[in-house]
Amino acid sequence: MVTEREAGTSIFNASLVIAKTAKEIEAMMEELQDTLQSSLGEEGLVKLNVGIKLSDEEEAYRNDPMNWLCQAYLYQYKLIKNGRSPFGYLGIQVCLGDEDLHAVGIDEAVVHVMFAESEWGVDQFGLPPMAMVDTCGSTLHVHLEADKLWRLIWESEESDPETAWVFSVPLAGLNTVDDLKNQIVHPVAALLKDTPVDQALSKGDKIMRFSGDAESCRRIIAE
Amino acid sequence: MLLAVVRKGKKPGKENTVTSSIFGPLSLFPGTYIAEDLWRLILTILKKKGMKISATLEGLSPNGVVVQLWPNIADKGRCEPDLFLKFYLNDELVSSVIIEIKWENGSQMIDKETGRYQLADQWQCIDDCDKQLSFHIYLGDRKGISVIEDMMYHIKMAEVDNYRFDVKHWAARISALTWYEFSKYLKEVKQDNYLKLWRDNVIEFLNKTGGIHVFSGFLGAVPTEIINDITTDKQLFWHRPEFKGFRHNANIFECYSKLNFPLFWHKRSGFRRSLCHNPKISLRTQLRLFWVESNVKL
Repeated sequence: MVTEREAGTSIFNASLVIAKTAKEIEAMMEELQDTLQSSLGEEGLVKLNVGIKLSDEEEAYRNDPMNWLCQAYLYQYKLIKNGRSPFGYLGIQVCLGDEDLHAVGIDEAVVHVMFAESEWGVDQFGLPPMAMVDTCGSTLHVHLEADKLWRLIWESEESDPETAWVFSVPLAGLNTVDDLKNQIVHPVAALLKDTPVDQALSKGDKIMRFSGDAESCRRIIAE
Repeated sequence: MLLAVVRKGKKPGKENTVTSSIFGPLSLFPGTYIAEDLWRLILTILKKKGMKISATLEGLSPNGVVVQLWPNIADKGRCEPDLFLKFYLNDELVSSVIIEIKWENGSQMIDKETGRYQLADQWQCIDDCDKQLSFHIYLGDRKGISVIEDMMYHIKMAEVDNYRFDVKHWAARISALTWYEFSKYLKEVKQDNYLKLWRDNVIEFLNKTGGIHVFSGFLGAVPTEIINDITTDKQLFWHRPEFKGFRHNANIFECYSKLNFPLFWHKRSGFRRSLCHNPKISLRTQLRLFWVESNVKL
């Protein structure tokens, strides 16, 4: 049993930590958007200066059942190369923690970095990734590449298959602009250029590794 | 606040209050004292925003600056940019910067009745020959880039030519700056002299009023006292003065002990568990299980 004081201090500190973390996340996202914009812009993957725009659709987030805490929040960006229409969407989901993460062996806050051609594609991801068949008959296949990248493929009879990808980084591993570049920006740029996955994620030494498939997914922790 | 009330009336509004609070103090410094430092800050901003700076401007060391809040720069009628900086070298104007400031949701850039744009009107008021020396900054939120892009698009596409200046030239001299970037560049630019105190206060002001905080990583998000307790060997029952002997009146009879172990060294569950879910990690790293604030007195 914990003492009353220990319990009180624990709650108090947890609240302080969340508040400080939230402020840091907002600052990180400012820095990340700038870095993504300049890096992807210089490589010609998106328009210079204005190729990455925060999507103005409704906010996507997940709260605890009592609505006291935002456990995960999704920043959705339009990626624009020509004209005004996006060719894809980049989702940065900051997940502070939940039971699902625990189930796959993760006990720390994570950032999921996602890309999909359609906006709805980036707000569906969580760990463990869910392969499924929906009511319209569309099938979602999920598989793991190079232990790090989840590839999601939607197949339906009505349209061409659509693919999306996701990789995850521990939030507390992102502490400098170089961390943002090495763990997120460079991998994203390389993947958008269809670089082989192991090469694309080679600089991202903090990117999480997994074993198994959608059902048996577990995090691999390096000794 | 002082200049906001003087220039804008008793109830100046939040945007004007912020503008006055941040930039008002600059207008009170003697221009000769702050010209060079302020120019270095502006130069950093312009370069970071990708503007082409001539070698002459790059090597400039102005020795005078005039800082004006809401000056009327129109020959006829009114046109009041939020901030106008004019840099001088030996009384000769060498560069000027118009800064339009938006705080929170302030993005009303177009007069719907006349179809005229606030930023374009400001640029039009600058003398043609001074335009070669001038820059334009839109300081606000992230929408600034889109605001400028849309405005340029509509001005170029407009059937009626409202403006008599080279829009392409202007496009190369105007830039959107976010408050986050402003705070970051302020932090980056070394200010040794008169502006240092202003800079430190502005960074703190932006942090407290707008939550604008420059990214510094997550290691600082955990309260320092917890980190200290984790990373140092402080334990709650460790701070006893070392036992040296017995006191009798003024005399101390020394009696050394060979043992100096902490008295309470047992593993406990509870508070610790919320910091570290995995007990194996704590065993491996030999974290103390019994930490509490370092100021606890026994």
